[in-house]
Amino acid sequence: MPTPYLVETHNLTKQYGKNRCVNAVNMHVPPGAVYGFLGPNGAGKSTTLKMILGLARPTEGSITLFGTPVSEKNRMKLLAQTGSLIESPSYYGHLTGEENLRIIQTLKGCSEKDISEVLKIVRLSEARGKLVNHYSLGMKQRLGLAAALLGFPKLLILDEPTNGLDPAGIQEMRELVCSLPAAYGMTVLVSSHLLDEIDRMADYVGIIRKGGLIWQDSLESLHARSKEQIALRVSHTAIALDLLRQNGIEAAQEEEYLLLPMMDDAYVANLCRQLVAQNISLYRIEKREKSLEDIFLSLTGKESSL
Amino acid sequence: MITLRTEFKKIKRKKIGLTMCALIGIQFAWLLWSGARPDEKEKLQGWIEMLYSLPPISVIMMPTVMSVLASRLADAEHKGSTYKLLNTLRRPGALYHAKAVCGALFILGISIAQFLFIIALGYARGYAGHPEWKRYAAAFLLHLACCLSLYLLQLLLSMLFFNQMIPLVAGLGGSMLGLILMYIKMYSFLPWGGFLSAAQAAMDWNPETRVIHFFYRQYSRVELCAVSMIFIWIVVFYTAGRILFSRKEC
Amino acid sequence: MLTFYIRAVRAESLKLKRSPVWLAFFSLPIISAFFGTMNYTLNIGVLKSEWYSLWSQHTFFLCYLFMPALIGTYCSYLWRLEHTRHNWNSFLTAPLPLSTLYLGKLTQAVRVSVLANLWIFLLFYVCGRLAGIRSPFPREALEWYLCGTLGAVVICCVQLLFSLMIRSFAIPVGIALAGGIFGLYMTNRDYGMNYPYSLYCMGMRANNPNMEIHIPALLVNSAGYILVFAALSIFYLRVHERAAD
Repeated sequence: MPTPYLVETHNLTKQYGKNRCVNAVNMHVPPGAVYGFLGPNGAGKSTTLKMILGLARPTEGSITLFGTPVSEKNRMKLLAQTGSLIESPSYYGHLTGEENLRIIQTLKGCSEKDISEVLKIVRLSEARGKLVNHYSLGMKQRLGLAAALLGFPKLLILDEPTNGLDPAGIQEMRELVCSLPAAYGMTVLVSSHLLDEIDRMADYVGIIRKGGLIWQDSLESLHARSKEQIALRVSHTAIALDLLRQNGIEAAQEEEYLLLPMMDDAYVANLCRQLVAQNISLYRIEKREKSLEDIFLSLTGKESSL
Repeated sequence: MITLRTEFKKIKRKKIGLTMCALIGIQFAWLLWSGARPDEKEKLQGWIEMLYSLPPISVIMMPTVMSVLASRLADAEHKGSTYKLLNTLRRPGALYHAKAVCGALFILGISIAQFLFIIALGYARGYAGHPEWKRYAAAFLLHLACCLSLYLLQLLLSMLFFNQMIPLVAGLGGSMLGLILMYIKMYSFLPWGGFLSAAQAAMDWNPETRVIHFFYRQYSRVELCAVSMIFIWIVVFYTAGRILFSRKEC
Repeated sequence: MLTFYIRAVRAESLKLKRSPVWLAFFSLPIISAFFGTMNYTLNIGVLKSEWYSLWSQHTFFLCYLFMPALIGTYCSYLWRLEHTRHNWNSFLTAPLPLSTLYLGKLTQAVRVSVLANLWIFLLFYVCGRLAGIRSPFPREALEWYLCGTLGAVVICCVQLLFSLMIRSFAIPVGIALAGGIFGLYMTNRDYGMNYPYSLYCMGMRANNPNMEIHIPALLVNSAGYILVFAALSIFYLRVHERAAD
């Protein structure tokens, strides 16, 4: 049965000894998306990605890539359409950046022109003749991305691509990743332990915790879970709370604020007039949004903060 | 002392001891094979012959064994690229010293095992009398010194080059050079010739009577110089290693 | 399949750029040839079989003790390229069959062994002429060369397996040295035909050019060892999650 997803895992599980570091993960990556794979360090992100690439064998479960179930036989054909950067970048230090790319290009059997092009994309054109041993960590990371881009594969798997980059480099990497689906029709599966990063890059989000995929959907639906509220600070909190409840409003007190559900402007204006009429002074009226961070923490549990 | 202890911790799971035992085991097998089932005449000269046959085997094996040991100890840093980290924690000189001492302790262990083995082997074969302890002690100490000089040379090379092929080929080349020097009877001042310069026993072969006679050597003045060279090499390699390592930009 | 193999070989050649490791294969035979010839000329009174005497002087130490270890260092070097700098990830995600990736490595090891052997024979010829041997170059030398090279390929296969399984550079070299020395014993006891490290020396007729060997047995045993050890390496690559370490 054809599936609408580019990457699909079914009950994917990896067990090392007694430790199930990936536990029954059902991941769905739609084509053309940037899928952010989010989870604290050690949650099983790298292991999942390695299994998708065939670098680790699943203990249980199966993987479907491009609508085809992965097997030892078609492994090669599927890898040919995949580019990856797992953990730290791979490189041969005694060779130049360009020679490193030439090795991958030869193995992938793609066009030689790609080398110049991917060098340009990751802005390493000028350093192409330098030994990789003399590259900075950021440059090595960019070289790793360039190697993954060679042959312009349909699927790009990037494991923590911003690790070890400086703020400017992180910004650049994010913009690059976001641009790939539109520019080259790629689907990107990118992992990170930073919520903020995934929020800026991804269209789809999967959250993994202790080996289990605990949430997965579009970024919008994650945002939709964030509740908007009106927060009030007044001179007599207790009296105001009574008044609000008499009006049938579900208000709650949180420290010195009163939290009200979202309501339209006219209703708010009316409420204010009533409060002032009772000689209650209004100090603040704020719109509050439950942050993504709060949602994430409520999903993953406070103990595994990011 | 702390540095030395960390050094041992780093190699904990690298099975260096096991590797060394295996290589020394080959040497034992060789000794077992080479002088098996001696007749009565051979038993009379057995203890001297043992000291005669040991140095050539050492020339062939020890340079490579030492290069394996040194490469193994130095490689802990190359693999993890931790030289930089370690240098921020400790002066590079102290790190080098710790590696040198750690290797020296291994060599001491190996040498004790080797000599206990040949002495046990001699008694088991029923060699006449007892070993000449003074000669055996001298042979032991000089063997130790030769190994140490080669180890320090290899450590220097192993830490200097990321590509471990260079020090290991140097070890092999050294073995070959030492062997060939022995073969054409050119005793040398080179570090790999040390085992031969320091040999305690020599042989006299009478082509007419075809009788082999082993005897303990008396060093001539030149030979004494060759023996002292072993100790000079130790100092030179240690100092060079320490200086080069401290200056190395990792 | 052939295009995959060619791609793998080409990629391996690219990796070896700028690392003059072949220099070792160039220089060690020179040392051996130089001193072998010197010893031959010094003892010309005893060594009367001309080319045959010179051959034993040239090859004894080289073939038993040094070539196995040298091939061992080269095989260690080939796999160390992947053992360091996280290269297993990119090596194993290359879209080629694992068997061709392995054959790419083996081809490099074989290439350097073939050339090193050729170099040994060239040095033998030149040194012989320089030492004043006037008789024609022995015809059997071609047979020695071919059999010896086959034996060297056996060592390549064995060492590639060890260096693949053992992350350390040095330990497989130690194994090769021990293997070579033990080969001396095995050849002496007539077990040489069944021992992988002895096949090289026997093929080369190292030390004893008059040694009678059963060529078909040598060929069959060599081919057998090559197949078994190559298969083991490929199996190991397939089964062991190297990149997950």
